Amino acid sequence: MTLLVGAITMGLILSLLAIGVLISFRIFSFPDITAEGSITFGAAIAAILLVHGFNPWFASGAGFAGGFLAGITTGVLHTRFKINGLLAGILVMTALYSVNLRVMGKSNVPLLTETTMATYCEKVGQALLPGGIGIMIAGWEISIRDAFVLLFAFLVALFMGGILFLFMRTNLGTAMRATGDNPQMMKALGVNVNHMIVLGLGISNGFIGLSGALLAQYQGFADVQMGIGIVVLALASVIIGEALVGSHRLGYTIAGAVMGSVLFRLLVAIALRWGLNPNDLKLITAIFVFIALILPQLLGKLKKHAGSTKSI
Amino acid sequence: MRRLQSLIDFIGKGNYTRDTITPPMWSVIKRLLLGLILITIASSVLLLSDLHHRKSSSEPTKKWRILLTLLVEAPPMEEAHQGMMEGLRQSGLVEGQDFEVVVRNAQGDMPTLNSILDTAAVEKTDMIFTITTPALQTAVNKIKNKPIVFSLAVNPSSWGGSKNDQDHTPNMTGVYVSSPFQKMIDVIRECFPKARRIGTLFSPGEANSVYVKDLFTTLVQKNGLELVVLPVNSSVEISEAAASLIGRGIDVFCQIGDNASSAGFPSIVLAARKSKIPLFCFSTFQARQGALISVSNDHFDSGREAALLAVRIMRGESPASIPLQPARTVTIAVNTKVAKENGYTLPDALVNSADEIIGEKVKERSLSKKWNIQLVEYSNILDVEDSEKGIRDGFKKAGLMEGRDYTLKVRNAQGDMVTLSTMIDSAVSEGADLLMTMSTPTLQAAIKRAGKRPIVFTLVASAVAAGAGKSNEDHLPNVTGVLTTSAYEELVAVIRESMPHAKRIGTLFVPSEINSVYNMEQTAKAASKSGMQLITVPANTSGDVSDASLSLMSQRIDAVCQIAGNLTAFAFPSLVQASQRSRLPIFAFQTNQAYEGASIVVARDYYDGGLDAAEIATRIMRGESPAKIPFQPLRTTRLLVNQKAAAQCGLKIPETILKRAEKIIGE
Repeated sequence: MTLLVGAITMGLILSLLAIGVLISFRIFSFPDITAEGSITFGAAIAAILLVHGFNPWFASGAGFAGGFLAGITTGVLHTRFKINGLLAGILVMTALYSVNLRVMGKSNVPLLTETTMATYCEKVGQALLPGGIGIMIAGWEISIRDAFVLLFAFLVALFMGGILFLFMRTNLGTAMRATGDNPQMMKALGVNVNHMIVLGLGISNGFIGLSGALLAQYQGFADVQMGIGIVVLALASVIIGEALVGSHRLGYTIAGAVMGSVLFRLLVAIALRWGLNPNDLKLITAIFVFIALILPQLLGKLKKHAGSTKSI
Repeated sequence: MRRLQSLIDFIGKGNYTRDTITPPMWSVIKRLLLGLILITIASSVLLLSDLHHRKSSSEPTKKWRILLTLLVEAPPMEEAHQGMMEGLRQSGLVEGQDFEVVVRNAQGDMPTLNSILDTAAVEKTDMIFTITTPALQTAVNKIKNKPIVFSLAVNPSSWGGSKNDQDHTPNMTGVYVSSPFQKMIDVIRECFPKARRIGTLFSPGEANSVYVKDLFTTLVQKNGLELVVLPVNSSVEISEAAASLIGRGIDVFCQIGDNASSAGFPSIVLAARKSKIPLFCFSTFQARQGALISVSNDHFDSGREAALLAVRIMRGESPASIPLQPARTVTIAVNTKVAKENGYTLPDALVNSADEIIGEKVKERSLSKKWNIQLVEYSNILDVEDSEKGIRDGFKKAGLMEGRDYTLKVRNAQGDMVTLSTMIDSAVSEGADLLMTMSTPTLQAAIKRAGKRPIVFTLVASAVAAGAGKSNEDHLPNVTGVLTTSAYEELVAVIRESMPHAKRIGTLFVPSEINSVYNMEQTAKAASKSGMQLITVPANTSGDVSDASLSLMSQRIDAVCQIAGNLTAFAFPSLVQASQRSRLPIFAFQTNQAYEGASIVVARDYYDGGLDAAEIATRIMRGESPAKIPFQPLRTTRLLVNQKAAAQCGLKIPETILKRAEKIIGE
């Protein structure tokens, strides 16, 4: 049960990363690698604030703001200085590496004794269920802390997803989405396309920074190598999510990204639980993504097949 | 400013365009259904693999009053008793809240046994635990309306208490002794391959003795050997009977367990010793009394298993529906003292795998349970492989056997930090009793996610910096381990010794590796103590190393003193090339770097670190509290010299160092 709860919590925390990647890659068709740096940036800012006794809400918000700044920087490099988008992301990601070391003052900041969001969740749990240390669910026991951290992660994913959904339906949000689809047309309509891109990347990396801030609080440390290879996995979550919902409408893709992220972490957890050779972990991960991707096609074929037999 | 204003106007209130009208609820659900179903399936798979960790939610609602009754006090009974108590505790029930146990011992007196059970019938007793066959039989006769759970008794089918394991007296269940006859025959064959005739005494007056004798006879014949039996009616006759049994020309004496022979066992030991016949038996206690080898059920474990059946009854199952169980675990005790006295040579494999050795080479008792050890690693580098090997060998050195005393499972996050937490969760849900971690982030993830389980770390330069404690002595109660700090002072002294005029020494370091930074700081301290300055050049990726090396050489240094680190270890050859061009000797901290071109290496060996970590883990498994074990630095150093590399850069290595060197390469 611990493993299940942990995997889902991790999936929900990383779903913010997936949503961030969704915004840049999908809505703006912008291959933004900044995430590798900005997730760590968010974590570093949150960690150092927490160590200095700041409130976890503030620290998490600062993580969002840090990611937002990083995204804006990438956007400005791309739009102002006409640097290729991929390269702009790589530049910022590389620079952030040193910035993160500067922010933390060292490569790794432990958060084992600080008051974090997880501590808050535990307190809320204790207040709601006094005297208990665990909750029984169908015979499995989970600790109050884990349960409420899970609940919190779910609420955050729901809230952030909802906010994004509503924002994307305002005039500004609609213009942003249209910019991703057809920048030429938006230019013709008199919209400043560059502003849209900069703001979009800011929001995207804000989500990613927040994800990093929560991740650091959940796993108990921020480390400068946290973000390595993370964009690929987030992208995999996004694509799995799209395959799951089979729609390109905004609300669905956001929900899909969250579900994809959770499913992806669950599959990793299963792979770990079944005790495969540790060297094969990445291979198994790749196979899982592959299966998740072809599953909808297979289902579609099956449906068609069933339909055709009916018509006969 | 105007732009900003127009931007604010532009955000507006949102006039919703056609494509964003909310679709009806049903189609939303339909769209999300596939994802939710898959998530549910994946979750179920995870939960199913976790089934045995369920705690039954139907906890007993009342406080069960348990009467534990036994006929005599002897070591096997005591073991079963302790096992029963342990089983109750393991099930998560709380003594005093969910149950209380009253122990009544009849001190070998049958009438007393009867009256104990009479009081149980009238007193407020909810359940009877019995240890020994007579206690069980008396209980079954007297008590029909309360559940009886037994251990350390023969199979009730031998006295009519059951037809088979499923079909038995309805208010009784438990774990019966299944004398491990086949194992015994295997052991006899292993020690005395030529033995053909096996002798035993049995007691016709005891139903269980006759039953066991018959079982043993059948099995011995099946194995193509012969069992010679002799009846004995009381413990007084034992001495005589044993002598006459030996007189019938047996090769091996193998005494089955019954009350008569247990009482007179010392006489059997004497008779066997006189005529130099090897004596085997079915009780550890008798091996201690002077038999050569015993093969017996682990009574502690049988007691524990029986208690788990009792817990099922407390949680609402009926004893009638719980099948009887044979005891499963077998323990072997070897009396090497007896072997030596009689000149028997026993196979080493048997002696080494024995659970208990009596006499010489007294091995500590094997662990009280099989420990589930989970080793979590962060990446694949040489140090990790060396440490892992050290850990495995360290357990061997401590006399622990994989599969018997512990299971070791290795997980490696392949450098993916996000996976670390899930790895720890996975280790925990596989029932890890002890976590061993390598590297700083792994330790931190374990502290965060592993609750109160003991954690033993290695490959951490400073556990205090990692947040595991205030100091090496004052640390988190469940964490301890081995600090793999380099031999800073030692290496600096060696540099002084071989290059008395050196002023500036240089190293590459990796700002993103917490260990690398720590090593750099410590080396700088040690250098300045002996009047040298440490020049540092950062490298962040393996691609940076060759440029960084060149830049280091251009800083007018007298020698390279390369600190330990993951990246610098990978890219060490680039550094060697650069230093050879500048004819500067390299001093280093990692063993393999002596082979790769460092002139002198003073290494803390990661293999030794693994050995030390295994030693700490063993102490914890033997009952020590991790809270009381300070974080300890690796103590052993190795001095390696590479003459060829030294000659290439004109370094003359002093004799004093050559004499001390553990290994000299390229002479």
